[in-house]
Amino acid sequence: MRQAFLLDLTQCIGCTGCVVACNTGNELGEDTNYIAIGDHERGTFPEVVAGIDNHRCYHCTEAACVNVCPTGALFQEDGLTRMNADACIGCQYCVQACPYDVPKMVNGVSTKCDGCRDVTRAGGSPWCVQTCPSDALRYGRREEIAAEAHRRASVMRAKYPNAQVYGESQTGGLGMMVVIPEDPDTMGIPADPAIPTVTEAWQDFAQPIGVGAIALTVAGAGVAAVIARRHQLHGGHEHGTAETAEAVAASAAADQDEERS
Amino acid sequence: MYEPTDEPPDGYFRLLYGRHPAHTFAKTQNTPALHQVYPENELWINADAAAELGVADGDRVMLENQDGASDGPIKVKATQRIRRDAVFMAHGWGHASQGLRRADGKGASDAKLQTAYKLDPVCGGAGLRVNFVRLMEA
Repeated sequence: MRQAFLLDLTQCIGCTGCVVACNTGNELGEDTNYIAIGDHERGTFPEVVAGIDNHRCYHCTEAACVNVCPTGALFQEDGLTRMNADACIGCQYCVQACPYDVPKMVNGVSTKCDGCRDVTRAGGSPWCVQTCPSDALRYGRREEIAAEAHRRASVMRAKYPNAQVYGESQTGGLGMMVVIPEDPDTMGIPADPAIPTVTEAWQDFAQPIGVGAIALTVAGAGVAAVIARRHQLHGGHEHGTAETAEAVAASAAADQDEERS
Repeated sequence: MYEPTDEPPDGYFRLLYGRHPAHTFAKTQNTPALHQVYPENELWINADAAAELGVADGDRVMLENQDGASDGPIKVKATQRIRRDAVFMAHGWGHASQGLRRADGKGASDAKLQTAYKLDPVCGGAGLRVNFVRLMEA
């Protein structure tokens, strides 16, 4: 079932409740957060337009982080981008590839929002959604969340003429439907996030070649071992020096010892 | 019977104070999960007024009130979201206790800068936003 978040930045009051709930619910410890609250403003007092930034994982469908991950630590499930930190080897490819600058390195492994996998798979709502006091966050089936987002945007257009839904089309559709009162660029969100083409090349081209190269290396090592063994058994005494002959004799003695015991 | 309040003297700003949504009074600044979302309070000051003083966003300044009481240093938040004759800070910071490992010495206390007050002649309520501060080098 394709799930999604609703993030309504026309309702967000910037209270940081989601940050704290996420931090404590997921036991992230100090100085690690999956959500960052900020603000932006333009104009001159008293004609100022200001708003809240709520920076977090947008759960791309064509996810650059999942594409570049060489170990499958990042994967997709329920329409969200999950993170299995145990499988992360700390290569930082996802940090480089993410168009939203989301994954962060903590203690040598990548960390980011995984949509509260344990909680949601057990039928609950993510921690941030549970705690939001202004109904700016919701979680549910993506079609229902999209419908709610469009309903809210159309209501908000009476007050904010440019109110719109962000996330319908970006990176193949986001798992985060964001209701924004102004244009994405004004809100500091890329209107058309660029996924580095190298990330697609990685999964479709470089990764299979890498697997093939490893298989070839293993096969080559096997063949080399067989050849070396034959050389040792059949040609070692004739061509070898006294030292190697001694070594062969010693190993033969060891073999005999093993057979006796 | 409204009486206009005093205006700030030259070079001084009216000291306003309020709350940060994550914190409760002066009690939660050392709480790990709350400290990390807002570790220290900031001095909101009109960006144009700050520029005239040669103070930039993120600078640290000391504050001194009309009676010479001072506190800080506090980080400057230069913004267009406040009028030119006032500065604002969230209440609860400026702790001085080594037991508060995270909050000790962070930010400034609005209470230490409030040495004057006015009483409502009818109900006796105290008005504390009658103190004025100036920015000093940290």
